[in-house]
Amino acid sequence: MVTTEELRDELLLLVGFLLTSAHGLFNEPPSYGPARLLETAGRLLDMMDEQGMLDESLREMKAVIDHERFGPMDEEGFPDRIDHLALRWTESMADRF
Amino acid sequence: MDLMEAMLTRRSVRRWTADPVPDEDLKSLVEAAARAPSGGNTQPWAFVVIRDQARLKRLRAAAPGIAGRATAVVLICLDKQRADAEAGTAEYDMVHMTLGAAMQNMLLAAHGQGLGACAIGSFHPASLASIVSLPPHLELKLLVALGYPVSQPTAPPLRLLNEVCYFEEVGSNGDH
Repeated sequence: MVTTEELRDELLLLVGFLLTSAHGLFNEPPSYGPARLLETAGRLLDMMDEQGMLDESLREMKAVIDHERFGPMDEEGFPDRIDHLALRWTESMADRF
Repeated sequence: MDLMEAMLTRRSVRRWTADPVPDEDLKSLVEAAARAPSGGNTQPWAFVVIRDQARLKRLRAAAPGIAGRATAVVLICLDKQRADAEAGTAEYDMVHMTLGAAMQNMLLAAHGQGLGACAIGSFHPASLASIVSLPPHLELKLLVALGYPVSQPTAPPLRLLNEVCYFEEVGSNGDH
């Protein structure tokens, strides 16, 4: 479990990541945009995990996201995998809201 | 591991354990990089090794291409003073290839040491220059993020050799 100050620092670093990503995306390949958003989702889930905020089902979803974050870049089928991931996430939220 | 095996089995690793890489191993990676061929023996490079945790965190926030938490990052910089001094490389085509050769040496050396590494081209140059106090004559061109791999990634889709290699004439694959 991290302290509030540590969590604040991690969030500040995430803001930096978003700003530098925004700059880079003007000139980077189009597929890097979805990859950066996926990375942001992963970093947020990393923080939640460190806070003990993820249950088993969320941790399973995080594993799928991490597979995309850390695996070899494979653009073939990437849009379909993101589509599937987004739908799976939405459906997983139905039990919570 | 022999050289051919290293070249065929190297993968881009983006997820690392928290185990630090010893300084001696980091130095040997830079030594491998600095033995790359360079046009006119210009050696137009400088390497900045980052392994301080606080600085790594700032670096990761300013280099969106780094996905995981690398335990070390090497900045590969173009030394513009050395490049400018070498006639014939003013257009920088050759020096860019030279830096690529240095990067590949580093990636292979890392793989040979049981490390995992990933070359990174996505970063915010001004932010990184600020983080490492880069002087004006050094221009950051590439990063190598590295550490001990959590797992060995699978191979990405690769083009077939006969799609990219010809013998004598383009279109001929050398079969008789």
